[in-house]
Amino acid sequence: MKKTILLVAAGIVVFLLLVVGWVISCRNNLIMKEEFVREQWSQIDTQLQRRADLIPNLVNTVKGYAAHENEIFTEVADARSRLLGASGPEGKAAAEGAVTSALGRLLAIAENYPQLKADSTFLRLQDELAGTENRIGVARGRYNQAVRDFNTAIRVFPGSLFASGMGLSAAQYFEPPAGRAAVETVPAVHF
Amino acid sequence: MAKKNATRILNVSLLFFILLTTVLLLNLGTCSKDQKRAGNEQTRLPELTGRIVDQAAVFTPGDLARLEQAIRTLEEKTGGQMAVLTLPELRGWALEEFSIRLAEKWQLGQQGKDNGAILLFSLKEHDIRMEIGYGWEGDINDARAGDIIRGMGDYFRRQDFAGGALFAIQKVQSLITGTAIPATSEPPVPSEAQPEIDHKLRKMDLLFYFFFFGVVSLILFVAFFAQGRGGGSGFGGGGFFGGGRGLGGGGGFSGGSFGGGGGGFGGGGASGKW
Repeated sequence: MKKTILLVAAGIVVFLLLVVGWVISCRNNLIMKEEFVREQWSQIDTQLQRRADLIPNLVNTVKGYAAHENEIFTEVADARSRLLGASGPEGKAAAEGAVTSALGRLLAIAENYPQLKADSTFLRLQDELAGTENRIGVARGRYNQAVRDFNTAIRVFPGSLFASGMGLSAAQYFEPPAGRAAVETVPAVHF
Repeated sequence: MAKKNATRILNVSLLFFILLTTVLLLNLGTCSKDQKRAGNEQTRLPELTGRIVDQAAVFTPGDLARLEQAIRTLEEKTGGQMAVLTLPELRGWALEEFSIRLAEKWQLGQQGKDNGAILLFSLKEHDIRMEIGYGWEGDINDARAGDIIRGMGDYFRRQDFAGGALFAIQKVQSLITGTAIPATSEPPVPSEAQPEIDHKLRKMDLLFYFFFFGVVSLILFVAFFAQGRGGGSGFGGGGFFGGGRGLGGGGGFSGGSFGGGGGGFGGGGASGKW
């Protein structure tokens, strides 16, 4: 009789351990996915900031050779401040598109000034700018992948069981919001 | 007698119940499944067959030996890794996208330190790119990478591909170590000591390989019952495979030959044409 009770108790303990272990695993994995999303976002944010920092130098260098092209300088400056003021992945993605457009036009205009194109400061700034844009592209891909992993995990079963209890909600993709008209992007100019 | 039967039934049904729960939970998985990565181009990217992957066949055996030695010197002096890839053409790929995917596949540089670099150029498009790992982005910023490429352009326009590649390798080394390489120095002839070192590494690699193989088999065995790839399997929380990173160690596992050390890349570097 005693043996039975012991066995049953052991059985129940094993059962509880299984369930508790599973619950803990699930919750931990969801948290780790969310953290990974944050990590990838900070990569994007860093690069966006870096590009914003490069822009004044670039504009000044171009101004040195093409002082009267005021319209494009204003456009670039506006796009830049809108990017700095934007918030959230979707907002920033839309603003980022506008900056890319404006920079593309600026570089296209620079094509008309051979002395500018030969200027070593300009060349090096272009490298930095192209490098930053490449990094944004890479970070964007990785971030969106992380968002996809996380959003799916909290929507499928059994993740959905835990998600609302943990206060987890879907993350935004780094894309302009679907409703807005797509931002026209000028293809990058290769020199 | 009846009591004994009752207990037996109880035990069996308890056991069955626990088994059922286990199967159910293992099937549900531990919320760790990662979605499929966009595009499976890993199979179309070139393999890291050595420090120099000369698909465009622009290097003579003498060139290959010199470049190989220059890269070995770089590895020794910087602790990082570098590879050179030559392509006859890009075949529809965008240069930067190809480069970052290649970097993610080859994983040059040590894991955590991310001290790797890839030099690649394509004959048809006249494209050159230097892909710099996270860890080296400080010393080799995009502008410097661009300078290196512009310097290489001078060599390439004279059809001196080996000279240009050597220039790049030495530039990378000097930027990382902070010391200039004398312009006229020829890389030293490999000494007798080297084969011995390779041999020792190989032995250690084998030992490590077998040990790791055992552990991996065990984990895979458990993982097979759990849902999804790349995630935690047992009940201790997931994420063991989550990083998707290669194994560290400069020697690699392919019999002591060249292999990536698990280094990470973020898209830094520069592109150019000659």
